[in-house]
Amino acid sequence: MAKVLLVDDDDDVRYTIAKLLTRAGHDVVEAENGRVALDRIADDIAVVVSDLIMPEVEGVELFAKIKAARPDMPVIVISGGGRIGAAEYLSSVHAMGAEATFVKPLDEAAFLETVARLAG
Amino acid sequence: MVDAIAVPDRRASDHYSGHRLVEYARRTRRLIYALSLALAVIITTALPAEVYFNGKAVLEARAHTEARSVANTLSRFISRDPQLWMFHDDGLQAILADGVHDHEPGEAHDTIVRDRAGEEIFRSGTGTSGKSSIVVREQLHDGINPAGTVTLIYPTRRLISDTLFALAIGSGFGIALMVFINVLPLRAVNRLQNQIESDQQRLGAYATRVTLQSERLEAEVRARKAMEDTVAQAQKLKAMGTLLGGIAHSINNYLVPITTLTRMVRDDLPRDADSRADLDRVIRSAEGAGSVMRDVLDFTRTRDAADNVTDLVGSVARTIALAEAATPSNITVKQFLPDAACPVRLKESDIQTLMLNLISNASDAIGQDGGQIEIEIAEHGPFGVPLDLPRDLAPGAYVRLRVADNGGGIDAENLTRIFDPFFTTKRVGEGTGLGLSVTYGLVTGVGGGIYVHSDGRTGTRFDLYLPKLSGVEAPAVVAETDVPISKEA
Repeated sequence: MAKVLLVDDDDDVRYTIAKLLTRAGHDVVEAENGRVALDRIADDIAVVVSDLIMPEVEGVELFAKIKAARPDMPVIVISGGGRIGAAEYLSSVHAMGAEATFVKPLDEAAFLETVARLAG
Repeated sequence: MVDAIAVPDRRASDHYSGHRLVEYARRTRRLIYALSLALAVIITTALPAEVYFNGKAVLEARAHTEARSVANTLSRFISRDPQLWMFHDDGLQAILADGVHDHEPGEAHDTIVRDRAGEEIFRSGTGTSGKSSIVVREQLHDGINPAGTVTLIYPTRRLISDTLFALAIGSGFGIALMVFINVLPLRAVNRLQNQIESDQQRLGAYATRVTLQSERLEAEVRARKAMEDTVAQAQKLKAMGTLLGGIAHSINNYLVPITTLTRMVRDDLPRDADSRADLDRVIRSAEGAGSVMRDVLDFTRTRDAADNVTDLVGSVARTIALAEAATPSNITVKQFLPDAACPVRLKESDIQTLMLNLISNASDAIGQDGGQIEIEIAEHGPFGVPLDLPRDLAPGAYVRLRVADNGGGIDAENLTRIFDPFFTTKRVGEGTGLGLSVTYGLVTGVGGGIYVHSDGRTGTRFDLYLPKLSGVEAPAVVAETDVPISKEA
């Protein structure tokens, strides 16, 4: 029962993951890009789930800003890979301290297990 | 840098005309020999007398010969050995300038011969016998016809010695002349020959240099061609990677709702609902698509240099053990692995992936007839010499992982496309064409290089060069949180 901030620019993906999380009993705050996510991040957010490649504020930038403002906030980064060097971003954010990274399409069980663990 | 090659055209033509000169010189020499010989013969025979071996020497003063010269000749002979000579006219007349002498046969004379001017031509010695004689016949009719004949008769011994003497003088002179005449042209010819020989040597040296340089040029051209090919291939693969990466990103995003929502819908359905099986099919297909996309991403991936450290030797050994179980029994896997660990910047799962790809390809290439796969890890060449690195690799320390099979080989055309994503020579359903692309991506992603060699007939060899980490770096334990979703069928 934790509050999860879900950031993804793709409506269908966001809808899907939100539904997955809601069904698992989490409260989901959605943001369609990094800028909105920064507005909506609040004290009661337990975990951030963020896409990596997004308009306005890129995932890596968002990640860096969240970690700067809230060093203890767990962040799970998901990515479909692609673009140039997207996979590098994934390992970069991992190196920068992302608590977990997942590739799309998701391994739901592992994803939910990680969210629960980090929220707990 | 290629040296300019100066081909000495002028020398080449000199060389050619030199041959002609030598030929001319040879002909000239033969001509000179012949001339000298002829000269020697002429000198030998042009004695003051015609010589016969019957013991008579006849000197004829023909119509144009004056009595004086006849007499001079006589006197030359006689004065050489005066006591030997006697006038003995055998009843013939010696017509002399101062009158006609009549001699009795066998009579010894003390004769003074004078010419018409009264000059003494010769004086005979004190002859005794008539064995030798000189007969001088000269007809002078008031100086109108000075022709006359002088016949010298002298002993055979004398004749032979004189003849030999004349021959000796003549041939000696001839030979001397021949030598003299020959020395100068011979020296010229020898000089010419020496010049030609040294030119030939120089030309030979030039030819050797030209050959060496052209060989070096050819090698250079080949190496550049190979490097251009490699660079072109790398560029092509990079472009493909960018394209496929973009595609993969989109498709992966589309796959999130498809797989996740379908699973949720399926799980919502009653256990016995007919459509569960259909949804399972949808999920399987979506997962299949996801799996292909992960391979594509593996191909496009440039790895973060710091993310993983694994012992290549251990990983490869474990993968071989794993693969041997799945390898047909008529294929022998030989491994040549060093004892010491060899850390590289790859995950164990990556090494497993690339090794399984290479082994499975090798075993497919070998086919039904059986064969052998050799797997070798080398940190240096034989006797500790450094590895011979491909030219397009960045300088540095590398470890070489080699997988070689003795199967059918790969022809040149397919070799250029072997790492292309989705390129396969296998039948539909037998291979996705991503295995070697993934392997390529894994190796180049950590700054390594992968090279394939095959003559198209007798086997294929893959050489993977992976940057070597120094032994002091302890393998870091990295949690593999980005494990792909499970591949349940």
